[in-house]
Amino acid sequence: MIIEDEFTESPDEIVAARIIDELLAKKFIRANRKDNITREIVSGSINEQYWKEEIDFALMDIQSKE
Amino acid sequence: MESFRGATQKLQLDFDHRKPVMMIYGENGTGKSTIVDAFSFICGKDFGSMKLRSGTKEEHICSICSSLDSLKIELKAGMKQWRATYKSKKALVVPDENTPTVRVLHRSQITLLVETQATKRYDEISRFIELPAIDRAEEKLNRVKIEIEQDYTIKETLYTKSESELLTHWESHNKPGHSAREWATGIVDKDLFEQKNLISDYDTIQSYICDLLKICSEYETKKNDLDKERIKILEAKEKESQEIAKVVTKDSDLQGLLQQTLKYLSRNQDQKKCPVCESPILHNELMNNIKLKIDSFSEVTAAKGLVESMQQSFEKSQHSLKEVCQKRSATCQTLLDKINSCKNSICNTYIVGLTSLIKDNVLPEQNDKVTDVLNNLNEYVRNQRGKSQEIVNQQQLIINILSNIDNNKADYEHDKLLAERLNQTLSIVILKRKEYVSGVIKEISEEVNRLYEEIHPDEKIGSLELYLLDTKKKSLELRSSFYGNDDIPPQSYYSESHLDTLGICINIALAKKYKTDILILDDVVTSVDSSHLGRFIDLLVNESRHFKNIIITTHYRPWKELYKYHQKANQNIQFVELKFWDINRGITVLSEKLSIAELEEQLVPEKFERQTVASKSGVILERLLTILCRKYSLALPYKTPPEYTLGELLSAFPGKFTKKMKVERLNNVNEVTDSCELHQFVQDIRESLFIRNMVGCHYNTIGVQFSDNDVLEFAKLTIAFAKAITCHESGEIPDRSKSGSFWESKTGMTRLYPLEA
Repeated sequence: MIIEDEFTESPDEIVAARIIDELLAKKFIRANRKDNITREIVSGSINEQYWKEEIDFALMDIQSKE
Repeated sequence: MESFRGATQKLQLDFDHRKPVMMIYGENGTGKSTIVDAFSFICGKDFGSMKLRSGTKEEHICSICSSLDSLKIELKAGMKQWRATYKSKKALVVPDENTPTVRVLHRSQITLLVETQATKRYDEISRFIELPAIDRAEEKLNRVKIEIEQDYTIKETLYTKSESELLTHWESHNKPGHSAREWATGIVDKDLFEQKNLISDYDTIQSYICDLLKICSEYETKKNDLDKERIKILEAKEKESQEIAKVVTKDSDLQGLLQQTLKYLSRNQDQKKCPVCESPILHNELMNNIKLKIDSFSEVTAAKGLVESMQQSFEKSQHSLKEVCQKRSATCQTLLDKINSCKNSICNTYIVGLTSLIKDNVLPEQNDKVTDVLNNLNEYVRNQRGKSQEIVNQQQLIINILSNIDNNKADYEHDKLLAERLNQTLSIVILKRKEYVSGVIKEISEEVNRLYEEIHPDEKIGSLELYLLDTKKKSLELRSSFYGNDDIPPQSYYSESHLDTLGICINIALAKKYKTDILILDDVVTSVDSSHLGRFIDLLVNESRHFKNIIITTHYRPWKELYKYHQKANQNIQFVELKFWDINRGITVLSEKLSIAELEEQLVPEKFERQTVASKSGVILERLLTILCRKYSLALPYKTPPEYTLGELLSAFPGKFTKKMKVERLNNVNEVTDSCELHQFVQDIRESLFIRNMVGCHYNTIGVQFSDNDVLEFAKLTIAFAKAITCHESGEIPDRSKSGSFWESKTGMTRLYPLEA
């Protein structure tokens, strides 16, 4: 049965949310950054530096707790 | 609409909001496409079917003999209203927002999505599968991943290089200890405090030596200067002696006398005579002569002055030299003290040498000896310092190497971890993107298959699959199965009819996916045979709940008849019939009624016309009984074509069978609320049959003898029978046999017994 999209979310938003959920589950990003990263992805303004910093900070967070 | 294509006169079309499907029936040239194009124009600013015709221009959207300025379409939905006019070859819609979304499928476009190029097929669903923001995020992520991988490689190289450097040093020291690391750690752990103090001492000693050497140099200079001065004094004294000797030979007393005379003359400016001889004198001339005489004695005075000043300078230099000597002696003592304070590190030879120099008091005279001792000492200290510095330098070098190793290793390991995470993140982004895209495509494929299966159940065709090729961008491929053969392009093997229904199913699936408000099927079913038509109708009615409206236009009369005579569920369908188009009248719209409603309408006294009522009742009964005969496979005489009179049809219903016929009605919880035997209906119809024949079909004298009331009762009997055997909810005669013991309407609320005759 086809699922009729309500189009409250664009395809970009749907996929971005799925990506972020997966990254959070794997602790590749920090939980408190979820909304910001989603916004950056969906707006298309995310750049190399942003990706690097977010992944790096999450990594350092984990390392500092170990 | 006004002045729009075939609508030469104002046309209004009212939609029954309780019925999601509107069927517009009309023969060719009655204005069906005009109505469809009106929706395209106001909802999509599109010129609709005109685009499919060559040689047409935008202005042809206007009705013939009308002006473009008068073209107008208005659409009202609830409280909302839109108005479209024609301006500059375009549709001008006000307000230009929230217009209902319309998807029109024209007959000529049915198989377009099936038969078109894969790229065009892709365009059709690109809205669902294109992810520009995700693509951009993925691209940036890929770039930073490559960047970090490169950084990580560089850091790995630096780390390896530092390790290799340590190894080289270790090997150059003949590999002491178990490993280079152990050796290096040993060196780093060494306390080099003493070595560093020694270097400091050596630096101080070297500083003293340097000072002392400068003093010695100064002493040497001053001593040389003193010697030169001594020689100059001797020379000055010699000259003084010579000058004195010159004066003595002339007259040693004269100089005094002349000076006394000059003084006397200076005091006595009026003296005109010599005080001794009284001879007259010239005062001024005499004084000048005396001055000249005295000047001849001044060289002696100068020579004496020179000797005196040189003597004084010499004494000064002698004093200065003495001071330098003292300074040298003091510095020498300081140096000796410093050396003594760290004598463990200084070769004793140099201590003895320096001590003897001071003790023997040879310092003032033997400056060269001091300089030699100091130079040798300096060289010795420089060597000693160099050795100590080498030890400290080696430790620092190893510290640096170890620090480089540790830092590079930490950086490299961190970047390695970061690169791994970026890589995994990229994999997640790619995976989620692909999952989404393939999910959407799969969803559409499954929906197409589901729809197709409903029209073509148990046929060995279908399993349609839409898919993307990794090797081709923006290309949506299509394959299906055909009699056990998979991976078949449907356009190659499917019949025209199967391609048509496939195209319609794809379009319906996309219309649902696009959340279309109004789906318009413009004359799409001409190639669909009657066996599939019924299922196609059911499909549309079922799918109508996904749309605000489905509008079907058709010139296919059997389709309309199926609904009109309750052969198919019709309660959700609004019927509209377009009558003959005329340039003066334009499009004529008639609200088509179902057969029973049409008959009921004519039973009021104002409209009652006995022949029409009897005739219509007969037609309805013929239709209903034909459906029942087919359903129960009742025996009828063979005829070509298979057209039977009402009497023939009734004769096919044996009494034994009609006694078993009944209809049950159920409520929402499947409880039987009403049961109606049909035997009596059949009996009554048999008995009233002649009314149809005498009144409704022919003129004859017997017919006029029946009263209007007889005709009215016949009509009422027809209506009661029709209502008895149709489902009140869906409007159809029960047609589903899934239960195995009765026929059931699609709502499940009406059952017709028995299942078989």
